[in-house]
Amino acid sequence: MKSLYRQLSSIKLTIVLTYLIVSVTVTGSFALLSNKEDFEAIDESLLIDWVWATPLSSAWWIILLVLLVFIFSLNTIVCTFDRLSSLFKVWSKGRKAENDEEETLVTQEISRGKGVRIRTLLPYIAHAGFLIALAAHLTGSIWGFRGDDFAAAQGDEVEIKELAGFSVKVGDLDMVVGKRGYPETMWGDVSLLGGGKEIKRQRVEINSPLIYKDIAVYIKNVQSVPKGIVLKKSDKEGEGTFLLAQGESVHLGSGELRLVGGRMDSRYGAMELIFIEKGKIVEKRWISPYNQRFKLIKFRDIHLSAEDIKSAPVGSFSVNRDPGARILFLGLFIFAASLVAHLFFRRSK
Amino acid sequence: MQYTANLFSIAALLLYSVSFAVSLWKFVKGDSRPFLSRLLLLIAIAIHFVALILRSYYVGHAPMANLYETLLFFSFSVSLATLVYNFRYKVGIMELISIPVASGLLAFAISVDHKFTPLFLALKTIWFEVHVMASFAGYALFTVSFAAAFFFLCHMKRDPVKSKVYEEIVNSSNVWGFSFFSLAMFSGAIWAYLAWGNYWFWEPKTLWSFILWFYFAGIVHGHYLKSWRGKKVAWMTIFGFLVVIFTYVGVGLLMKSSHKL
Ligand code: HEM
Repeated sequence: MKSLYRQLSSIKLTIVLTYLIVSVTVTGSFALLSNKEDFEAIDESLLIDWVWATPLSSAWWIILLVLLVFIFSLNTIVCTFDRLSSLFKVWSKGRKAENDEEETLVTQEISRGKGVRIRTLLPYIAHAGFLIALAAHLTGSIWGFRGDDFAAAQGDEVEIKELAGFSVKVGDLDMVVGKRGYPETMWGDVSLLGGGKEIKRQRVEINSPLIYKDIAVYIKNVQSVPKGIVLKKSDKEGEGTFLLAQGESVHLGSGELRLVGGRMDSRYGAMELIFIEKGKIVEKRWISPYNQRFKLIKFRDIHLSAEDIKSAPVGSFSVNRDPGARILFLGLFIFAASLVAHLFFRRSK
Repeated sequence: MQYTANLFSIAALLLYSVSFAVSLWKFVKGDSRPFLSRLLLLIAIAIHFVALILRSYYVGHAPMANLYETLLFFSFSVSLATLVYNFRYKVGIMELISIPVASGLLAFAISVDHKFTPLFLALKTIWFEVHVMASFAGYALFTVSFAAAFFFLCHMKRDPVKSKVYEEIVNSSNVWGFSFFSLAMFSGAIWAYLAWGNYWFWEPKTLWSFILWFYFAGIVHGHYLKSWRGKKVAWMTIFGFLVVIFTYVGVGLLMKSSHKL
């Protein structure tokens, strides 16, 4: 028992473990590439679900990594406990350090016979931060969920299927394309509803999701979806302009004109029309106000010209829940901050 | 504007080369007064900085969005870190290694495509800048410790006093590099969480950042073992530089990483 404790508190073990972990990860980074299909879903699901669903031939190194990191955490806990408890003994009884293989600030200060200063403990606070982050990561790999993307337009309310009683409601949304043709912003006003009541409302953008406790609502994309086309009709009776909405029909001459589909990107678009006579499709044509070749069409003796496409933005959203995320950031912050403080004192030493 | 930025890069490259030639010459002659070469280095860095500013002005964002920009920035970070260590530890001649590295990176930058890359939406956040700057500060400090480790090994037998200083430089720049890289991991995690909904991705670039981070965590602790301190740590540090290079370029070239950068 005692020798196990000594093993677990040794820095030698720390170094051996770091290099084992590094080696497994290096191997894994190549294994990942040779077996792409198995790893496709790994970032969209909880790690634990993925490991269960994936053959051992692909998942082995991740399982091994988790195992090694587990031993590594034990090492960090035991090591930190060991140093702190020997420190405590030194403080209360003035005892000397025993281990001659290792030389740290703490052992130096002890052997100089001086008291140990609080700032010497900063690396141990860093260790604690690291452990907090690791534990949080573990929590987020077991509980929580990564929701699928869903589409929603203005006014839509979509239930979060992993979270009974909760839903997402979308208000205004839009995308702005810049001069060079690339999207400049994408945003949507989103409310998170729970038990029918609004819990939080926020303008969600790329890089700024709605975050409520451990739930986060993301916007992934906004696209224009064609809703209808403005057509100008001219025949012997004269001219007229009308709007034809997606899926709807109007009487035209001896038959019926119906808008059956359409496509849009950020700037251009085209719509698909069919012409029906006596219940039969007699013509199928694409029409677009943006392209001279497709701007004008003719059915029998009626001329139609495309004037404008009416579109509405539709967003793609997703909801994730990660009970570990905020604690992870806290842990990493403690880790980084105490490191910086430690460095600062080290310099002025 | 891009043309002017390029002129400044080329001028900086020339000055780096001259500064290197001067320090090599002094080194061969056994003259340890580094005033001239360091003055040249300082001017080269200032000019390099102007090139970075012009590029940022031209593209309208921090110059870190494509290979050209990151090379320009990486090489700047290496020179700056070298200069900082030179001033702090007077004796070091790390520039004999790190300035050729910086010049190589800068020459590579000048030779690659300079075209404007639009900043896709996910990059429009302060976390992007913090993440990239912290990563390159880490890379640069690991480069300095690589150079110091080399000179530590050279002096180990002949000059114990100098080798002690180099050992201290190795140790200091490893810990500083590790701290900056920890900051990069922290900001990267936050950024990924805000932009894509996960703070960790199982893809090559993230994995290699983790590898680099842990690799240097091992080295930092190696310093606390008497049997590792000095020689073993120096060799590990030298090998660590290869890990840095692989993480920065190798992953992109060999592994076709899907890293969002
Ligand atoms: C990933 C996990 C770990 C990280 C990121 C980490 C990080 C650090 C850092 C940055 C320092 C300060 C280094 C310096 O200024 O020279 C440090 C010191 C130290 N670490 Fe760790 N460490 C980890 C795990 C461990 C483990 C498992 C042990 C236990 C054996 C350990 C034992 C120590 C000791 C004894 C010190 C010296 C403190 C002193 O100078 O008194 N560390 N660690």
